[in-house]
Amino acid sequence: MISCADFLAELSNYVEGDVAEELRAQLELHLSHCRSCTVLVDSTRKTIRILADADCFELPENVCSLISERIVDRIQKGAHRNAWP
Amino acid sequence: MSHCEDDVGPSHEAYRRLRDAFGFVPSVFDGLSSNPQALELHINLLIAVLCSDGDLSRVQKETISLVTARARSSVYGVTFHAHNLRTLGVRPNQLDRALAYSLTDLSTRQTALMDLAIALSQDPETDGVPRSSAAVRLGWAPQAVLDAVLSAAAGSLVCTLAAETSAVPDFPPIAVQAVGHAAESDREGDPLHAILGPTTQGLRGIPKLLQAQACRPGVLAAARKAYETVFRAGEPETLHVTSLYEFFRVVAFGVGLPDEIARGSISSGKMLHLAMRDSRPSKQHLEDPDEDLVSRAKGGDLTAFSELIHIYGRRVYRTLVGVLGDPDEALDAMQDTFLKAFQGLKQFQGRSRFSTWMITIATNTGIQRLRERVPTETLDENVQDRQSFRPKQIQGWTDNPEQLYSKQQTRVLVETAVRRLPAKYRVVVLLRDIEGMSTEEAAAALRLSVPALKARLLRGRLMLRESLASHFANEPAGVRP
Repeated sequence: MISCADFLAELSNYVEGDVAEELRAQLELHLSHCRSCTVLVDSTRKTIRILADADCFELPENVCSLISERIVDRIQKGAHRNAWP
Repeated sequence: MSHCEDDVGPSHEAYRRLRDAFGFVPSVFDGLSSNPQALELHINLLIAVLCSDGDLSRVQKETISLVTARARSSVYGVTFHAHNLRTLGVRPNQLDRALAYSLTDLSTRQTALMDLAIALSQDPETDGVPRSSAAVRLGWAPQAVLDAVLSAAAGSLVCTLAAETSAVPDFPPIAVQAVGHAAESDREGDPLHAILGPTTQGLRGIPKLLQAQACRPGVLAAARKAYETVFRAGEPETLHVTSLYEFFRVVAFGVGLPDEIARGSISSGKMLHLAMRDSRPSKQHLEDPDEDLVSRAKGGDLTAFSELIHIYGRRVYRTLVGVLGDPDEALDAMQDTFLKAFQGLKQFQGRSRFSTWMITIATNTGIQRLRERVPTETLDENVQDRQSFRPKQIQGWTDNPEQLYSKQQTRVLVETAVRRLPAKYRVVVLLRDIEGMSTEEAAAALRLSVPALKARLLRGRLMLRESLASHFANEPAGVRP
Protein backbone atom coordinates (compact mmCIF):
# COMPACT_ATOMS: atom_id res chain seq x y z
CA MET A 1 0.00 0.00 0.00
CA ILE A 2 1.39 3.37 -1.01
CA SER A 3 1.51 6.07 1.68
CA CYS A 4 1.35 9.83 1.12
CA ALA A 5 5.10 10.03 1.76
CA ASP A 6 5.75 7.33 -0.88
CA PHE A 7 3.52 9.20 -3.27
CA LEU A 8 5.33 12.46 -2.63
CA ALA A 9 8.67 10.85 -3.46
CA GLU A 10 7.33 9.89 -6.88
CA LEU A 11 5.36 13.07 -7.53
CA SER A 12 7.71 14.61 -10.12
CA ASN A 13 8.13 11.33 -11.99
CA TYR A 14 4.38 10.75 -11.91
CA VAL A 15 3.42 14.14 -13.35
CA GLU A 16 6.00 13.65 -16.10
CA GLY A 17 4.73 10.17 -16.90
CA ASP A 18 8.10 8.71 -16.01
CA VAL A 19 7.01 5.75 -13.86
CA ALA A 20 6.68 2.07 -14.67
CA GLU A 21 3.20 0.79 -15.33
CA GLU A 22 2.93 -1.25 -12.13
CA LEU A 23 3.99 1.67 -9.96
CA ARG A 24 1.65 3.99 -11.85
CA ALA A 25 -1.27 1.70 -11.05
CA GLN A 26 -0.35 1.78 -7.34
CA LEU A 27 0.00 5.57 -7.38
CA GLU A 28 -3.36 5.95 -9.09
CA LEU A 29 -4.98 3.63 -6.58
CA HIS A 30 -3.64 5.87 -3.82
CA LEU A 31 -4.93 8.95 -5.64
CA SER A 32 -8.40 7.45 -5.88
CA HIS A 33 -8.86 7.76 -2.14
CA CYS A 34 -6.49 10.56 -1.13
CA ARG A 35 -7.74 14.09 -1.67
CA SER A 36 -4.54 15.75 -0.42
CA CYS A 37 -2.35 13.96 -2.94
CA THR A 38 -4.89 14.61 -5.71
CA VAL A 39 -4.68 18.32 -4.92
CA LEU A 40 -0.90 18.04 -4.83
CA VAL A 41 -0.77 16.48 -8.30
CA ASP A 42 -3.16 19.04 -9.76
CA SER A 43 -1.44 22.06 -8.25
CA THR A 44 2.04 20.77 -9.12
CA ARG A 45 0.97 20.31 -12.75
CA LYS A 46 -0.41 23.84 -12.74
CA THR A 47 2.78 25.16 -11.15
CA ILE A 48 4.87 23.59 -13.92
CA ARG A 49 2.50 24.97 -16.56
CA ILE A 50 2.61 28.46 -15.09
CA LEU A 51 6.41 28.34 -14.90
CA ALA A 52 6.69 27.35 -18.54
CA ASP A 53 4.13 29.90 -19.72
CA ALA A 54 5.24 32.91 -17.71
CA ASP A 55 8.27 33.74 -19.87
CA CYS A 56 10.26 34.43 -16.74
CA PHE A 57 13.66 36.02 -16.76
CA GLU A 58 13.64 36.93 -20.41
CA LEU A 59 16.96 38.27 -21.54
CA PRO A 60 16.69 42.02 -22.23
CA GLU A 61 16.96 42.92 -25.90
CA ASN A 62 20.36 43.61 -27.43
CA VAL A 63 22.26 42.11 -24.49
CA CYS A 64 23.75 39.38 -26.70
CA SER A 65 24.83 41.90 -29.36
CA LEU A 66 26.41 44.10 -26.72
CA ILE A 67 28.26 41.22 -25.05
CA SER A 68 29.30 39.87 -28.41
CA GLU A 69 30.76 43.25 -29.45
CA ARG A 70 32.63 43.64 -26.17
CA ILE A 71 34.08 40.13 -26.30
CA VAL A 72 35.11 40.38 -29.95
CA ASP A 73 36.71 43.73 -29.19
CA ARG A 74 38.53 42.30 -26.20
CA ILE A 75 39.73 39.23 -28.10
CA GLN A 76 40.94 41.33 -31.01
CA LYS A 77 42.83 43.67 -28.67
CA GLY A 78 44.33 40.62 -26.96
CA ALA A 79 45.37 39.19 -30.31
CA HIS A 80 46.88 42.55 -31.22
CA ARG A 81 48.88 42.64 -27.98
CA ASN A 82 50.06 39.09 -28.59
CA ALA A 83 51.24 40.04 -32.04
CA TRP A 84 53.18 43.04 -30.70
CA PRO A 85 54.42 42.05 -27.27
CA MET B 1 -13.36 22.62 -56.66
CA SER B 2 -15.75 21.95 -53.81
CA HIS B 3 -18.65 19.61 -54.41
CA CYS B 4 -22.23 20.85 -54.67
CA GLU B 5 -25.05 19.75 -52.43
CA ASP B 6 -26.43 17.40 -55.09
CA ASP B 7 -23.50 14.96 -55.01
CA VAL B 8 -24.75 11.39 -55.07
CA GLY B 9 -23.22 7.94 -55.42
CA PRO B 10 -21.41 5.48 -53.23
CA SER B 11 -19.52 8.24 -51.44
CA HIS B 12 -22.58 10.31 -50.67
CA GLU B 13 -22.41 9.43 -46.98
CA ALA B 14 -18.71 10.30 -46.85
CA TYR B 15 -19.36 13.66 -48.51
CA ARG B 16 -22.16 14.35 -46.05
CA ARG B 17 -19.78 13.72 -43.18
CA LEU B 18 -17.29 16.13 -44.74
CA ARG B 19 -19.95 18.81 -45.03
CA ASP B 20 -20.93 18.26 -41.40
CA ALA B 21 -17.33 18.50 -40.28
CA PHE B 22 -16.01 21.29 -42.50
CA GLY B 23 -19.07 22.92 -44.09
CA PHE B 24 -17.93 21.90 -47.61
CA VAL B 25 -16.32 19.01 -49.48
CA PRO B 26 -12.63 19.84 -49.87
CA SER B 27 -11.43 19.41 -53.45
CA VAL B 28 -8.44 17.40 -52.24
CA PHE B 29 -10.79 14.41 -52.15
CA ASP B 30 -11.63 14.77 -55.85
CA GLY B 31 -8.54 12.73 -56.65
CA LEU B 32 -10.01 9.79 -54.75
CA SER B 33 -13.48 9.96 -56.27
CA SER B 34 -12.80 6.89 -58.41
CA ASN B 35 -11.70 4.90 -55.36
CA PRO B 36 -14.56 5.01 -52.83
CA GLN B 37 -12.78 2.78 -50.34
CA ALA B 38 -9.69 4.99 -50.20
CA LEU B 39 -11.96 8.02 -50.01
CA GLU B 40 -13.72 6.63 -46.95
CA LEU B 41 -10.45 5.75 -45.24
CA HIS B 42 -9.04 9.23 -45.69
CA ILE B 43 -12.20 11.02 -44.65
CA ASN B 44 -12.72 8.83 -41.58
CA LEU B 45 -9.15 9.36 -40.44
CA LEU B 46 -9.22 13.12 -40.96
CA ILE B 47 -12.55 13.60 -39.19
CA ALA B 48 -11.62 11.22 -36.35
CA VAL B 49 -8.46 13.19 -35.61
CA LEU B 50 -9.65 16.76 -36.07
CA CYS B 51 -13.27 16.61 -35.01
CA SER B 52 -13.40 14.19 -32.08
CA ASP B 53 -13.06 15.24 -28.46
CA GLY B 54 -9.60 15.09 -26.99
CA ASP B 55 -7.22 16.97 -24.76
CA LEU B 56 -6.72 19.62 -27.43
CA SER B 57 -9.58 21.72 -28.79
CA ARG B 58 -10.58 21.68 -32.46
CA VAL B 59 -8.95 25.12 -32.86
CA GLN B 60 -5.70 23.86 -31.35
CA LYS B 61 -5.71 20.80 -33.62
CA GLU B 62 -6.45 22.84 -36.73
CA THR B 63 -3.69 25.28 -35.77
CA ILE B 64 -1.19 22.44 -35.48
CA SER B 65 -2.30 21.12 -38.87
CA LEU B 66 -1.92 24.63 -40.27
CA VAL B 67 1.63 24.93 -38.93
CA THR B 68 2.34 21.49 -40.40
CA ALA B 69 1.05 22.61 -43.80
CA ARG B 70 3.16 25.73 -43.62
CA ALA B 71 6.27 23.72 -42.75
CA ARG B 72 5.54 21.53 -45.77
CA SER B 73 5.06 24.59 -47.98
CA SER B 74 1.64 23.27 -48.97
CA VAL B 75 -0.54 26.09 -50.29
CA TYR B 76 -3.52 23.74 -50.37
CA GLY B 77 -3.01 22.64 -46.76
CA VAL B 78 -2.52 26.16 -45.44
CA THR B 79 -5.58 27.45 -47.28
CA PHE B 80 -7.71 24.50 -46.08
CA HIS B 81 -6.79 24.72 -42.40
CA ALA B 82 -6.82 28.55 -42.39
CA HIS B 83 -10.38 28.42 -43.74
CA ASN B 84 -11.40 25.93 -41.04
CA LEU B 85 -9.92 28.17 -38.37
CA ARG B 86 -11.73 31.23 -39.70
CA THR B 87 -14.96 29.22 -39.65
CA LEU B 88 -14.26 28.35 -36.03
CA GLY B 89 -14.05 32.06 -35.21
CA VAL B 90 -10.30 32.60 -35.28
CA ARG B 91 -9.49 36.20 -36.23
CA PRO B 92 -7.16 37.01 -39.17
CA ASN B 93 -4.48 38.48 -36.92
CA GLN B 94 -4.48 35.29 -34.83
CA LEU B 95 -4.06 33.30 -38.03
CA ASP B 96 -1.11 35.46 -38.98
CA ARG B 97 0.41 34.69 -35.59
CA ALA B 98 0.06 30.98 -36.22
CA LEU B 99 1.50 31.24 -39.72
CA ALA B 100 4.49 33.28 -38.60
CA TYR B 101 4.73 31.62 -35.24
CA SER B 102 8.48 31.97 -34.94
CA LEU B 103 8.10 35.76 -35.03
CA THR B 104 5.44 35.97 -32.36
CA ASP B 105 5.60 36.13 -28.62
CA LEU B 106 4.08 32.72 -27.95
CA SER B 107 5.18 31.24 -24.65
CA THR B 108 7.72 28.43 -24.50
CA ARG B 109 4.93 26.02 -23.69
CA GLN B 110 2.67 27.10 -26.55
CA THR B 111 5.58 27.03 -28.95
CA ALA B 112 6.45 23.48 -27.88
CA LEU B 113 3.50 21.98 -29.79
CA MET B 114 4.23 24.15 -32.84
CA ASP B 115 7.86 23.05 -32.73
CA LEU B 116 6.69 19.45 -32.52
CA ALA B 117 4.51 19.92 -35.62
CA ILE B 118 7.40 21.45 -37.55
CA ALA B 119 9.82 18.76 -36.41
CA LEU B 120 7.41 16.07 -37.56
CA SER B 121 7.21 17.77 -40.96
CA GLN B 122 10.89 18.39 -41.44
CA ASP B 123 12.99 15.91 -39.51
CA PRO B 124 10.72 13.45 -37.68
CA GLU B 125 13.36 10.74 -37.32
CA THR B 126 15.69 12.98 -35.34
CA ASP B 127 13.40 15.50 -33.73
CA GLY B 128 10.04 13.76 -33.31
CA VAL B 129 10.47 12.07 -29.95
CA PRO B 130 12.72 14.78 -28.41
CA ARG B 131 10.08 17.39 -29.29
CA SER B 132 7.25 15.23 -27.89
CA SER B 133 9.27 14.77 -24.71
CA ALA B 134 9.95 18.51 -24.51
CA ALA B 135 6.22 19.23 -24.75
CA VAL B 136 5.51 16.86 -21.85
CA ARG B 137 8.32 18.40 -19.80
CA LEU B 138 6.72 21.79 -20.36
CA GLY B 139 3.51 20.61 -18.74
CA TRP B 140 1.42 19.25 -21.61
CA ALA B 141 -0.46 16.07 -20.70
CA PRO B 142 0.79 13.09 -22.75
CA GLN B 143 -2.68 12.72 -24.26
CA ALA B 144 -2.48 16.35 -25.45
CA VAL B 145 0.89 15.60 -27.04
CA LEU B 146 -0.65 12.56 -28.71
CA ASP B 147 -3.41 14.81 -30.05
CA ALA B 148 -0.76 17.19 -31.37
CA VAL B 149 1.09 14.33 -33.09
CA LEU B 150 -2.17 13.10 -34.63
CA SER B 151 -3.07 16.63 -35.79
CA ALA B 152 0.34 16.96 -37.43
CA ALA B 153 -0.23 13.56 -39.05
CA ALA B 154 -3.67 14.66 -40.30
CA GLY B 155 -2.11 17.84 -41.71
CA SER B 156 0.53 15.71 -43.43
CA LEU B 157 -2.17 13.44 -44.86
CA VAL B 158 -3.93 16.42 -46.48
CA CYS B 159 -0.68 17.97 -47.77
CA THR B 160 0.57 14.71 -49.29
CA LEU B 161 -2.74 13.97 -50.94
CA ALA B 162 -2.93 17.53 -52.27
CA ALA B 163 0.59 17.29 -53.71
CA GLU B 164 -0.08 13.92 -55.30
CA THR B 165 -3.34 15.04 -56.91
CA SER B 166 -2.29 18.63 -57.67
CA ALA B 167 -5.40 19.75 -55.81
CA VAL B 168 -6.51 23.32 -56.37
CA PRO B 169 -7.30 25.23 -53.14
CA ASP B 170 -11.00 25.58 -52.43
CA PHE B 171 -10.63 29.23 -51.48
CA PRO B 172 -8.32 32.10 -52.50
CA PRO B 173 -4.93 30.51 -51.86
CA ILE B 174 -2.76 31.73 -49.03
CA ALA B 175 0.88 31.99 -50.10
CA VAL B 176 3.38 30.27 -47.85
CA GLN B 177 7.04 30.92 -47.47
CA ALA B 178 9.32 27.94 -47.32
CA VAL B 179 10.68 27.24 -43.88
CA GLY B 180 13.67 25.17 -44.79
CA HIS B 181 11.70 22.30 -46.21
CA ALA B 182 11.35 21.34 -49.85
CA ALA B 183 7.95 21.99 -51.37
CA GLU B 184 5.88 18.86 -51.93
CA SER B 185 6.23 19.18 -55.69
CA ASP B 186 10.02 19.25 -55.36
CA ARG B 187 10.19 15.94 -53.57
CA GLU B 188 11.49 12.98 -55.41
CA GLY B 189 9.16 10.06 -54.99
CA ASP B 190 7.72 8.89 -51.73
CA PRO B 191 9.82 10.18 -48.84
CA LEU B 192 8.80 7.17 -46.81
CA HIS B 193 10.65 4.86 -49.13
CA ALA B 194 13.95 6.54 -48.42
CA ILE B 195 13.55 5.82 -44.74
CA LEU B 196 11.58 2.64 -44.37
CA GLY B 197 12.33 0.99 -47.66
CA PRO B 198 10.22 0.69 -50.78
CA THR B 199 7.91 -2.04 -49.53
CA THR B 200 5.40 -2.30 -46.75
CA GLN B 201 7.97 -4.40 -44.89
CA GLY B 202 9.20 -1.25 -43.21
CA LEU B 203 5.80 -0.77 -41.67
CA ARG B 204 5.78 -4.07 -39.79
CA GLY B 205 5.71 -2.30 -36.43
CA ILE B 206 2.80 -0.03 -37.24
CA PRO B 207 0.03 -2.27 -35.83
CA LYS B 208 1.72 -2.10 -32.44
CA LEU B 209 1.74 1.65 -32.74
CA LEU B 210 -1.99 1.59 -33.13
CA GLN B 211 -2.24 0.57 -29.49
CA ALA B 212 -0.83 3.96 -28.56
CA GLN B 213 -3.92 5.48 -30.03
CA ALA B 214 -6.23 3.42 -27.86
CA CYS B 215 -7.03 6.42 -25.70
CA ARG B 216 -8.62 7.92 -28.83
CA PRO B 217 -11.05 5.15 -29.82
CA GLY B 218 -12.37 6.99 -32.90
CA VAL B 219 -8.88 7.51 -34.25
CA LEU B 220 -7.90 3.97 -33.39
CA ALA B 221 -10.86 2.55 -35.31
CA ALA B 222 -10.19 4.72 -38.37
CA ALA B 223 -6.45 4.07 -38.29
CA ARG B 224 -6.83 0.31 -37.84
CA LYS B 225 -9.23 0.11 -40.71
CA ALA B 226 -6.90 2.14 -42.91
CA TYR B 227 -3.97 -0.07 -42.00
CA GLU B 228 -5.78 -3.34 -42.46
CA THR B 229 -7.45 -2.35 -45.69
CA VAL B 230 -4.48 -0.83 -47.40
CA PHE B 231 -1.35 -2.42 -46.02
CA ARG B 232 -2.42 -5.91 -45.08
CA ALA B 233 -4.47 -6.37 -48.21
CA GLY B 234 -1.21 -5.99 -50.14
CA GLU B 235 -2.79 -3.72 -52.70
CA PRO B 236 -0.48 -2.13 -55.23
CA GLU B 237 0.94 1.18 -54.13
CA THR B 238 -1.28 3.95 -55.29
CA LEU B 239 -1.49 7.56 -54.34
CA HIS B 240 -3.77 6.92 -51.39
CA VAL B 241 -1.16 4.62 -49.89
CA THR B 242 1.43 7.37 -49.98
CA SER B 243 -0.72 9.77 -47.99
CA LEU B 244 -1.64 7.08 -45.48
CA TYR B 245 2.04 6.09 -45.21
CA GLU B 246 2.76 9.68 -44.39
CA PHE B 247 0.08 9.71 -41.69
CA PHE B 248 1.48 6.62 -39.99
CA ARG B 249 5.06 7.74 -40.42
CA VAL B 250 4.40 11.05 -38.63
CA VAL B 251 2.58 9.30 -35.79
CA ALA B 252 5.33 6.68 -35.51
CA PHE B 253 8.10 9.22 -35.18
CA GLY B 254 5.98 11.47 -32.95
CA VAL B 255 5.35 8.88 -30.27
CA GLY B 256 8.48 6.79 -30.69
CA LEU B 257 9.42 4.01 -33.04
CA PRO B 258 6.82 1.27 -32.67
CA ASP B 259 9.13 -1.72 -32.39
CA GLU B 260 10.68 -0.22 -29.31
CA ILE B 261 7.36 0.70 -27.80
CA ALA B 262 5.36 -2.45 -27.67
CA ARG B 263 7.33 -4.64 -25.31
CA GLY B 264 5.15 -6.66 -23.02
CA SER B 265 1.53 -5.82 -22.43
CA ILE B 266 1.54 -2.07 -22.55
CA SER B 267 -1.74 -0.41 -23.11
CA SER B 268 -3.32 2.83 -24.21
CA GLY B 269 -1.70 6.22 -23.70
CA LYS B 270 0.82 4.81 -21.25
CA MET B 271 2.73 3.61 -24.26
CA LEU B 272 3.43 7.21 -25.06
CA HIS B 273 5.23 7.67 -21.75
CA LEU B 274 7.31 4.60 -22.38
CA ALA B 275 8.03 5.61 -25.93
CA MET B 276 9.37 8.91 -24.81
CA ARG B 277 11.39 7.49 -21.95
CA ASP B 278 12.93 4.70 -23.99
CA SER B 279 13.61 6.78 -27.03
CA ARG B 280 15.74 9.43 -25.39
CA PRO B 281 19.03 9.64 -27.24
CA SER B 282 21.74 7.49 -25.75
CA LYS B 283 25.11 8.99 -24.95
CA GLN B 284 26.69 6.95 -27.72
CA HIS B 285 24.63 8.74 -30.31
CA LEU B 286 25.12 12.35 -29.36
CA GLU B 287 24.85 14.65 -32.29
CA ASP B 288 25.72 18.22 -31.59
CA PRO B 289 23.71 20.73 -33.60
CA ASP B 290 26.40 23.34 -32.92
CA GLU B 291 29.29 21.25 -34.20
CA ASP B 292 29.93 23.40 -37.25
CA LEU B 293 29.77 26.72 -35.38
CA VAL B 294 31.98 25.39 -32.59
CA SER B 295 34.53 24.11 -35.06
CA ARG B 296 34.64 27.48 -36.85
CA ALA B 297 34.89 29.35 -33.54
CA LYS B 298 37.76 27.09 -32.49
CA GLY B 299 39.51 28.10 -35.68
CA GLY B 300 39.25 31.73 -34.59
CA ASP B 301 36.08 32.68 -36.49
CA LEU B 302 34.65 35.40 -34.24
CA THR B 303 31.44 35.64 -36.26
CA ALA B 304 30.74 31.98 -35.43
CA PHE B 305 31.43 32.61 -31.75
CA SER B 306 29.17 35.66 -31.83
CA GLU B 307 26.43 33.43 -33.23
CA LEU B 308 26.94 30.99 -30.35
CA ILE B 309 26.53 33.91 -27.92
CA HIS B 310 23.19 34.72 -29.53
CA ILE B 311 22.07 31.07 -29.45
CA TYR B 312 23.03 30.48 -25.81
CA GLY B 313 22.56 33.99 -24.39
CA ARG B 314 19.16 33.31 -22.85
CA ARG B 315 20.09 29.91 -21.46
CA VAL B 316 23.32 31.24 -19.93
CA TYR B 317 21.42 34.19 -18.46
CA ARG B 318 18.77 31.96 -16.91
CA THR B 319 21.44 29.64 -15.50
CA LEU B 320 23.15 32.62 -13.89
CA VAL B 321 19.86 33.92 -12.51
CA GLY B 322 19.30 30.41 -11.18
CA VAL B 323 22.61 30.32 -9.36
CA LEU B 324 22.79 33.96 -8.28
CA GLY B 325 19.10 34.80 -7.86
CA ASP B 326 19.74 38.33 -9.05
CA PRO B 327 18.97 39.28 -12.69
CA ASP B 328 21.31 42.31 -12.62
CA GLU B 329 24.21 40.30 -11.31
CA ALA B 330 23.42 37.59 -13.85
CA LEU B 331 23.67 40.12 -16.68
CA ASP B 332 26.97 41.26 -15.26
CA ALA B 333 28.28 37.69 -15.16
CA MET B 334 27.32 36.88 -18.75
CA GLN B 335 30.31 38.54 -20.35
CA ASP B 336 32.63 36.75 -17.96
CA THR B 337 30.99 33.42 -18.83
CA PHE B 338 31.32 33.81 -22.59
CA LEU B 339 34.88 35.07 -22.31
CA LYS B 340 35.81 31.96 -20.29
CA ALA B 341 34.06 29.84 -22.91
CA PHE B 342 36.04 31.40 -25.72
CA GLN B 343 39.29 30.96 -23.81
CA GLY B 344 38.47 27.33 -23.06
CA LEU B 345 37.13 26.46 -26.50
CA LYS B 346 40.31 24.70 -27.57
CA GLN B 347 39.89 22.28 -24.64
CA PHE B 348 36.33 21.40 -25.66
CA GLN B 349 36.65 17.91 -27.11
CA GLY B 350 33.00 17.29 -27.97
CA ARG B 351 32.58 14.55 -25.36
CA SER B 352 29.38 16.31 -24.30
CA ARG B 353 27.11 18.58 -26.27
CA PHE B 354 28.36 22.15 -26.55
CA SER B 355 25.18 23.30 -24.78
CA THR B 356 26.02 21.14 -21.74
CA TRP B 357 29.58 22.44 -21.68
CA MET B 358 28.37 26.04 -21.96
CA ILE B 359 25.90 25.69 -19.08
CA THR B 360 28.59 24.09 -16.92
CA ILE B 361 30.79 27.15 -17.47
CA ALA B 362 27.87 29.45 -16.62
CA THR B 363 27.15 27.45 -13.45
CA ASN B 364 30.78 27.55 -12.35
CA THR B 365 31.01 31.27 -13.06
CA GLY B 366 27.89 31.79 -10.95
CA ILE B 367 29.20 29.61 -8.12
CA GLN B 368 32.46 31.53 -8.09
CA ARG B 369 30.52 34.77 -7.58
CA LEU B 370 28.29 33.14 -5.00
CA ARG B 371 31.33 32.20 -2.93
CA GLU B 372 32.40 35.82 -2.79
CA ARG B 373 29.13 36.69 -1.09
CA VAL B 374 28.65 36.90 2.66
CA PRO B 375 26.75 34.96 3.93
CA THR B 376 27.59 32.28 1.41
CA GLU B 377 24.97 30.28 -0.43
CA THR B 378 25.94 26.88 -1.76
CA LEU B 379 24.88 24.42 -4.42
CA ASP B 380 26.39 21.53 -2.49
CA GLU B 381 24.29 18.75 -1.04
CA ASN B 382 23.55 18.94 2.67
CA VAL B 383 21.38 17.29 5.28
CA GLN B 384 18.35 19.31 4.17
CA ASP B 385 18.45 17.61 0.74
CA ARG B 386 18.02 14.22 2.31
CA GLN B 387 15.15 15.24 4.57
CA SER B 388 11.65 14.90 3.20
CA PHE B 389 9.71 18.04 2.45
CA ARG B 390 6.16 18.09 3.69
CA PRO B 391 3.70 20.27 1.75
CA LYS B 392 1.49 22.40 3.99
CA GLN B 393 -0.87 24.03 1.50
CA ILE B 394 -3.49 21.49 0.51
CA GLN B 395 -6.38 23.57 -0.81
CA GLY B 396 -7.33 23.03 -4.45
CA TRP B 397 -6.30 25.46 -7.15
CA THR B 398 -8.65 27.19 -9.58
CA ASP B 399 -9.18 25.49 -12.93
CA ASN B 400 -7.42 28.16 -14.95
CA PRO B 401 -4.99 29.88 -12.60
CA GLU B 402 -3.35 31.73 -15.52
CA GLN B 403 -6.55 33.70 -16.05
CA LEU B 404 -6.55 35.20 -12.56
CA TYR B 405 -3.84 37.73 -13.36
CA SER B 406 -2.41 39.54 -16.36
CA LYS B 407 0.60 37.93 -17.97
CA GLN B 408 2.84 40.64 -16.54
CA GLN B 409 1.43 40.11 -13.03
CA THR B 410 1.90 36.35 -13.30
CA ARG B 411 5.48 36.83 -14.45
CA VAL B 412 6.25 39.06 -11.46
CA LEU B 413 4.66 36.54 -9.06
CA VAL B 414 6.62 33.65 -10.54
CA GLU B 415 9.92 35.52 -10.76
CA THR B 416 9.57 36.61 -7.14
CA ALA B 417 8.80 33.07 -6.01
CA VAL B 418 11.69 31.61 -8.01
CA ARG B 419 14.15 34.16 -6.64
CA ARG B 420 13.16 33.22 -3.10
CA LEU B 421 14.17 29.60 -3.64
CA PRO B 422 17.56 28.48 -2.31
CA ALA B 423 20.14 28.54 -5.11
CA LYS B 424 20.45 24.77 -5.51
CA TYR B 425 16.72 24.37 -6.19
CA ARG B 426 16.39 27.62 -8.12
CA VAL B 427 18.94 26.67 -10.75
CA VAL B 428 17.39 23.23 -11.28
CA VAL B 429 13.86 24.65 -11.65
CA LEU B 430 15.12 27.30 -14.08
CA LEU B 431 16.94 24.83 -16.29
CA ARG B 432 14.24 22.15 -16.28
CA ASP B 433 10.90 23.91 -16.00
CA ILE B 434 11.60 27.34 -17.43
CA GLU B 435 14.35 26.65 -19.95
CA GLY B 436 12.96 23.21 -20.84
CA MET B 437 16.20 21.20 -20.64
CA SER B 438 15.96 17.43 -20.21
CA THR B 439 16.74 15.83 -16.85
CA GLU B 440 19.86 14.19 -18.25
CA GLU B 441 21.16 17.38 -19.87
CA ALA B 442 20.55 19.51 -16.76
CA ALA B 443 22.19 16.86 -14.54
CA ALA B 444 25.24 16.73 -16.80
CA ALA B 445 25.56 20.52 -16.91
CA LEU B 446 25.26 20.86 -13.12
CA ARG B 447 27.54 17.83 -12.55
CA LEU B 448 24.81 16.09 -10.56
CA SER B 449 23.58 12.53 -10.76
CA VAL B 450 20.13 12.11 -12.31
CA PRO B 451 18.56 11.02 -8.96
CA ALA B 452 20.13 14.03 -7.21
CA LEU B 453 18.79 16.38 -9.86
CA LYS B 454 15.35 14.81 -9.63
CA ALA B 455 15.36 15.17 -5.83
CA ARG B 456 16.20 18.86 -6.11
CA LEU B 457 13.63 19.39 -8.84
CA LEU B 458 10.93 17.82 -6.69
CA ARG B 459 11.88 19.99 -3.70
CA GLY B 460 12.06 23.12 -5.86
CA ARG B 461 8.68 22.48 -7.46
CA LEU B 462 7.04 21.79 -4.09
CA MET B 463 8.49 24.96 -2.59
CA LEU B 464 7.28 26.99 -5.55
CA ARG B 465 3.87 25.41 -5.33
CA GLU B 466 3.66 26.39 -1.65
CA SER B 467 4.74 29.89 -2.47
CA LEU B 468 2.27 30.35 -5.36
CA ALA B 469 -0.66 28.64 -3.62
CA SER B 470 -1.79 31.81 -1.86
CA HIS B 471 -2.27 33.44 -5.28
CA PHE B 472 -3.84 30.58 -7.22
CA ALA B 473 -5.82 28.56 -4.68
CA ASN B 474 -9.60 28.42 -4.67
CA GLU B 475 -10.00 29.57 -1.13
CA PRO B 476 -7.92 31.02 1.68
CA ALA B 477 -4.91 28.89 2.42
CA GLY B 478 -5.55 25.73 4.36
CA VAL B 479 -2.78 24.19 6.36
CA ARG B 480 -2.05 20.50 6.60
CA PRO B 481 -2.17 19.64 10.29
